[in-house]
Amino acid sequence: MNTIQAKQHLKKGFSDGLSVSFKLIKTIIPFYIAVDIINHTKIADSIGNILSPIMGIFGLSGKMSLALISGYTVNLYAAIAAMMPLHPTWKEVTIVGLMSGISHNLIVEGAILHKTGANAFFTITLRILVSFIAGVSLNLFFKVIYG
Amino acid sequence: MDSSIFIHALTGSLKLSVKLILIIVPLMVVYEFLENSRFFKKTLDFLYIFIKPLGFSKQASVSMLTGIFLGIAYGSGILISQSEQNKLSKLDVMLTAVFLSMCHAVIEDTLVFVAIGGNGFYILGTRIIIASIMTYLFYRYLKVKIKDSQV
Repeated sequence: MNTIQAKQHLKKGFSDGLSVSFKLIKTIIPFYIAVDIINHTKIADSIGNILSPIMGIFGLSGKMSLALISGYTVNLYAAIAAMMPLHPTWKEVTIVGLMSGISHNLIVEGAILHKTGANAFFTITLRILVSFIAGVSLNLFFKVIYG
Repeated sequence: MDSSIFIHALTGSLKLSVKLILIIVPLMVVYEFLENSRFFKKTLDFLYIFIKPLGFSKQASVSMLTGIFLGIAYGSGILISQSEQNKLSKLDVMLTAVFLSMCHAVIEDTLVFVAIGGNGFYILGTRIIIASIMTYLFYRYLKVKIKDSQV
């Protein structure tokens, strides 16, 4: 690899990194602020209380449902933004990362895959189901390994 | 509303943003160097060994590898053009959709969660294992279905 190539890679990596970061920040700032404020109200408590039995099977607190819903409908950055004000543990970050990694931005990506010939309803249902299976499995795995 | 709650939220979100830039930019630079190295091309050949048993044909590997590393929009862009040119069989289209819908842009996705304290090994490992199992199950199912329709 010569110096010119290295310079190009450096430039491209830097600009790609910045563009990913800005894409992230654009979503993160409004979502983070919204969720952090919601957390100071009673709404978050009631959502958390209602969903905590379901979230429990993934090893997540009830309030983390906000992060999952944001991820499923919007994207990963929304999930991160919704999660961070709740001060998650590394296990919670990992489980939300896995679940929303499998199942995110469902409407937009479902539409793209639909164009290739794979039914959108099919891919969306599949992804949600699989993300649940993945969340339950990783939670069980963590329980076995880390207690 | 108490304005200190808003200020607290705003500074929290800005701190997180700065942290993410500082982590993501250097990692993307490293990734750019890896992507253009011989080592990376060898890795791609190596990966084909693993997707072959899942039922993929050689033609699908282009879309698969692009999708896995760069994301569904880009990968499917190629996939759409490939399926329109009838380069891919219906089986390839379905398997690629099943796998990529669950497992795409893995570098970026994993990286952003590692940046906030997640364990990348578990996120990536579980995702690949589950996507592979699901794709294989669909391959078995679709293979039988295609055979039946041909008879």
